[in-house]
Amino acid sequence: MHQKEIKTDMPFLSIKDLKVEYKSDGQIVHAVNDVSLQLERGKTLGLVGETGAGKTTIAKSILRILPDIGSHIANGEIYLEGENLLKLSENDMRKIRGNKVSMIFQDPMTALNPVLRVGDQIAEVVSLHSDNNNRAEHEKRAKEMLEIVGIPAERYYAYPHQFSGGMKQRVVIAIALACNPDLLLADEPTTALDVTIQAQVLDLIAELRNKYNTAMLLITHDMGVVAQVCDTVAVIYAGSIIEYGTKQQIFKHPSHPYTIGLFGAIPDMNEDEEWLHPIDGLPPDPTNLPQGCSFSPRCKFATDACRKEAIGMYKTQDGHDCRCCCIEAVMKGED
Amino acid sequence: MNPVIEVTNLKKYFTTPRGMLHAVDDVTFTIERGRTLGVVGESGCGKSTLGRTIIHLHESTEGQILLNGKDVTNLKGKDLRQAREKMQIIFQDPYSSLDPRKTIDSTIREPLIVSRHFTKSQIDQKTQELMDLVGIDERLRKAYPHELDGGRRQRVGIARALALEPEFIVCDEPVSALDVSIQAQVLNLLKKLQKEKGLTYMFVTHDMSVVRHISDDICVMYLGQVVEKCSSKELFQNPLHPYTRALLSAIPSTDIDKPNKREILRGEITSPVNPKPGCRFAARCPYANEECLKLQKQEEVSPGHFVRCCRLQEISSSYN
Amino acid sequence: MPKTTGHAKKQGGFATVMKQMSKNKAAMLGLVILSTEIILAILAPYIIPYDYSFMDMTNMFAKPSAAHFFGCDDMGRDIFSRVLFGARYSISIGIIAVAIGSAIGCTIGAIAGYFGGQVDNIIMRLLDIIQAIPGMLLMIVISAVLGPGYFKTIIALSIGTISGMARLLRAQMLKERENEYIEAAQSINCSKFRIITSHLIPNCISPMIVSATMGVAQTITLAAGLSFIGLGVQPPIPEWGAMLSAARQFIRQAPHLVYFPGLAIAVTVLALNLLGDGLRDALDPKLKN
Repeated sequence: MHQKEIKTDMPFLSIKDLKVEYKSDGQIVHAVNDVSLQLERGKTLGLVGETGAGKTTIAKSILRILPDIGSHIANGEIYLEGENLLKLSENDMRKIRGNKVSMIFQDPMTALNPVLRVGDQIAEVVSLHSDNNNRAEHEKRAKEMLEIVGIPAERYYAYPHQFSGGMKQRVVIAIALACNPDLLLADEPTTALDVTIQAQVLDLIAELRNKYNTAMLLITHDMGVVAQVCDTVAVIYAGSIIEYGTKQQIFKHPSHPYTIGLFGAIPDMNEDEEWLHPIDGLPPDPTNLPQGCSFSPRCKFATDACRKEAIGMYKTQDGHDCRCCCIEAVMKGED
Repeated sequence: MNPVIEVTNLKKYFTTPRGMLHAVDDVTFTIERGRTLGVVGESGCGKSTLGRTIIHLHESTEGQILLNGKDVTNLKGKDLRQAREKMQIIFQDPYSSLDPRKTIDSTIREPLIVSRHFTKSQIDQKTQELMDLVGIDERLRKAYPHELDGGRRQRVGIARALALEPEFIVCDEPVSALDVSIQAQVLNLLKKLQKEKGLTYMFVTHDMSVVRHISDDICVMYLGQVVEKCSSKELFQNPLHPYTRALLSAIPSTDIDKPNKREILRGEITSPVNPKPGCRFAARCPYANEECLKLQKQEEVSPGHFVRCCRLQEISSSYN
Repeated sequence: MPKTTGHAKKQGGFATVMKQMSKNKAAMLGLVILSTEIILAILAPYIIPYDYSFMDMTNMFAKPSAAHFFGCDDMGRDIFSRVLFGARYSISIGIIAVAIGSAIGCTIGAIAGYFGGQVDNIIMRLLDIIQAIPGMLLMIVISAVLGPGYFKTIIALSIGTISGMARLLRAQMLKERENEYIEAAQSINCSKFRIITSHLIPNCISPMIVSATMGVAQTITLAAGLSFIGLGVQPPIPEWGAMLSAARQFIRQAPHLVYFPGLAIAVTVLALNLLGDGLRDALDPKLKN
């Protein structure tokens, strides 16, 4: 057994310089590049970005459930309560998964086993993470969880196909929360749901988070969901965090040209506009990232300096970082 | 008044093992030339089926569809083929809507070949024009769909729909599979094409901000029925049906200073199989009472604003 | 990882498949063995050292030697020449029978899969009836009715492949038919014939090719089996199964009479199966990376 090193002066969750690579067809896909972030108990961090930006990969790295073949964490440290998860043995890791950290997956339709009763699926998770073998107690806990997510306990004996999409997603949440995790990784938990159901589920998640002081990493591409649920926001582009700050800072003073473009591309609910303002071009090929700033080929402020070398994080305000070397020009251009 | 599409009491029922599924139930509307009708609603409300029934991908169960004043409801064979050239569709899923074994060129070319109106050289020229029109690079001509990103694939789908110069296009959630920055590119393209070619759209979506941006008029559907219909402006300023209000309030606002007052809906969604005659929203409606179990009629509450709710008079006073 | 990168890799059907296949050593081995066998079979009349039906009674049961690589059989015929020449019959029976069976099976399967409903129901029940009879038994019955001979064996064997192929294509079509590009084809006025031939079949063809390759191997063993019980190709034509059948009474005193045709069947079937496995992987887009 190796010595467990526990650092005490650390935030609840702290990721440092995480770098994840996939191998595909002999090429290296740079999925996550030098991502660092912190999260405190009871807070919610939103990871925002487009398809393929590497959001889900970050969450999967925390749980260490990346596919074995072809992917590996090339660099970085992930500390949960001061303990480096990447150095734990698989056995120790299994105790963390579901117990301390659990994940809600995007698609509620496929996350449940269709031939098992929903209640039993919750009870199973409870029993896997409890010391005793008292079946009745696990069942009681499962019924409690159903009630918490707003499903009557008598639906314990129902099968997944008898539930609507929103109810299935609530069952998935019940499973994720059954062991009172300290950290919840929610990967697009409401994307597959209708807006009226989404509102219910988001409310539920927020309520449970406040009740149990759970830390949450919310992955989404929907700025509206972020505005509603998150405390801090990290905007991801091509595997790197390009802007990081509190919700107020990001929504009131977006500083990176990509973040600004992202807000500009959403049709406004309150104002009429003839044309939308799309970001020109496409996200870069992750096997072949451009030199320097990865957004530079689509950026109207880009200079030669942007295309030369990797761009560091610049502080625009306390706690508001932005990976852009032309912030001043961007700010002027915006006015 | 120059309506391109007039739909009257259109119904589409599917037979299922559990009974009749009322996918589209008694829908009536008209769309003027060059305008866009937005159809919004949640999954399973029949909005896609409605679009597909109008362009005859499904046979209608009852009702009437007029195209440029001509009845096209029960067309068959050659007449149907002629009518279909005027009515096209753009699909939701840019991944499954293109044949994976056909190049971009042959996908766009296909409608021109099938129509038999054109010679080989005309087809070549038209294919080129269409690719330029929707903004696809010449170098992608021989590419296969899997080599393209979602936005470009959707452009190919648009080019295919435009090939026969239709007047009316059903856009079935054309941007919901795309990322916002790409979504804006495609929405702008659709708007540009509408202006240039005087196209008439029926725009099916679940995204309220998109529908607000693109539509002139909006129909809100709930379980096969239109519950509210009015101009886009009116709908967002003065939503009347309780469902529309819940729908609008549920959209997470990006304005962090003004979090919306949400009306959280309780209760389970009614099944569209063999529905009872009453209001289908009643089970989730905070205002429902016994009256709502009776047959609901669509009423014009102000010029051009139609609502299907019997208790509107009573409950609208409680709105602020 | 997403495919939204716009990064283009050219795909020309055959070339890509070959490129994928070349990564699979077993499949390449199968391909090499099979091509060698086919080339030898085609060139057989020019390269065999003796006429396959030339009887040299002085060499009855001769052991393998420099003069007769595989030895001689009970009538003093050179086994090497007979195995080589027999490849023409065994392999061609396999390929032609599967080709005929697939063509008919695909047509039936395409009709059932596309039209569905009653048409599908009737076709599938008829196929059920055929499949209810054990394969070998069905073949024996058909051969017994038709009588022995090269072409009749092919017909008997091809009937046996029809239902499997039809089912496979139908299942593929049912899956593909759900895709929106089929609705798109309808909306641009494609005829049913065009939708089936131009859109559905090209998208369903990969598993059919794999299944046909494996089917050839199976058919070769079945043909050998039919010959073995005296219903297939008749002596003196050196079909491998017929050779085995004729040699079985001498298995104790001259086992080499059985070894070589048996080995030929085994190697061919193995090669076809390796190739089929390789094709399955090479044609499956999900396994591309």
